Amino acid sequence: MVRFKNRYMVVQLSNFEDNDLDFKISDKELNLTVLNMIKTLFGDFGVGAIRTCFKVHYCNPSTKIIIFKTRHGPHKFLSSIIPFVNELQGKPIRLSTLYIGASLFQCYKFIQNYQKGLVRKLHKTLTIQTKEKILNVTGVLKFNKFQVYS
Amino acid sequence: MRVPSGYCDLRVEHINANIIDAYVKHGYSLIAVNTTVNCSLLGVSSSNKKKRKIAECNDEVKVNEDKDWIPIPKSTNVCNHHNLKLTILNRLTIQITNIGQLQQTLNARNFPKYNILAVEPLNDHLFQNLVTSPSVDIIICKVKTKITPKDYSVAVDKNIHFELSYAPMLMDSVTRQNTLTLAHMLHIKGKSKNIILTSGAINRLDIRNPYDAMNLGFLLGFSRKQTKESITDCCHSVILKSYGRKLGKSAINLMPIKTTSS
Repeated sequence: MVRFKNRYMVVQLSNFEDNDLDFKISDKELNLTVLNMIKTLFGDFGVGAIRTCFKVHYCNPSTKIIIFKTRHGPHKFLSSIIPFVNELQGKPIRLSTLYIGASLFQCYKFIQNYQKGLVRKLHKTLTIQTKEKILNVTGVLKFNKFQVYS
Repeated sequence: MRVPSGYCDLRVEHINANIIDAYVKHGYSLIAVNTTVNCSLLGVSSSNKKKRKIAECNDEVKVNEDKDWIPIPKSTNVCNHHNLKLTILNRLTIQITNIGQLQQTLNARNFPKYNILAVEPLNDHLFQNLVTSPSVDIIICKVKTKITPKDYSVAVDKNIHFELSYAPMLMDSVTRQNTLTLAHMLHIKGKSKNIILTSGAINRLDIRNPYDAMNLGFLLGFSRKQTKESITDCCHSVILKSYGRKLGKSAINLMPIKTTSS
């Protein structure tokens, strides 16, 4: 029996500055900025509705891919405020939605394909190390048998 | 005891003629005046268990006596001519930290004067015990209370209700967020079954029309049927349950009708 549905939102973060190494994403800050944005746009109802089950589920600093987890219902609030999140740690950023899935496994499959496509596109200019870095998507799922698959 | 019907509001903090007038004007047929007792503040002084128990009992009775006599004279004195339209009950809210305090409250001398018993657990693990106890009518949850779906379904089976009150929500932004979060959490855990919507009004301006209160259900994540039930049917079953507790085990209660001979 399905008690309640979840939505997992795969989001790409891009910052405009070149020095990527300094930029570190922390879960808590991301959580706070998104909740503040929801409060300015949807007010108390939006925050109250989404706080029950909102969580930054996964956050990859090298590829800058983030997975937000929400309940089905308030996921509409989240998806509509994502273009408005402009700033993190005082630096301009941009979030763009890549995929909305109902299970983590689907998101995982999507991220894998997405990164493979990225590598294929850029394979002439990349070194082997950066290739491995891009393709490394462990930690999305907590199960070991899926991680071996990658 | 009259069979409950119509719109109910099971939590009013104060009562006076103004408030009763407002309720009658809005078309409510039943209200309950709330008295809150924080059991954790009651004295635990002497080490001897028996002595301590006696002392606690005395303290509690004192507290109850002080507070017990406040609502009853007001509800009887204020407006007798309204009594046909509006039934006024007394409700006791206790905030407890262990399950023994609930037993003490049940044994207290002044407890039978109250109609409804609401319990607010201050610990997490207490919630499980409360859900299975037969004497609780209403459980008040906070955002931080951990509720499991299983506990919720047990509570629904035992005909225990959960409370959401809207008057504190009107004033403050933080409490508004918390109440909305709580309401949505109850929706996740048990699909908003057995929820009653009360006002928790302190003064006259906090009281809302029952239809407006029902429309609040949209914010709180109720279905259309549940919004109506939250202010009528669920409240009736709370009152009937509390009345049944006083009688003991019983199926039918027969009462002679007072015939008015012309």
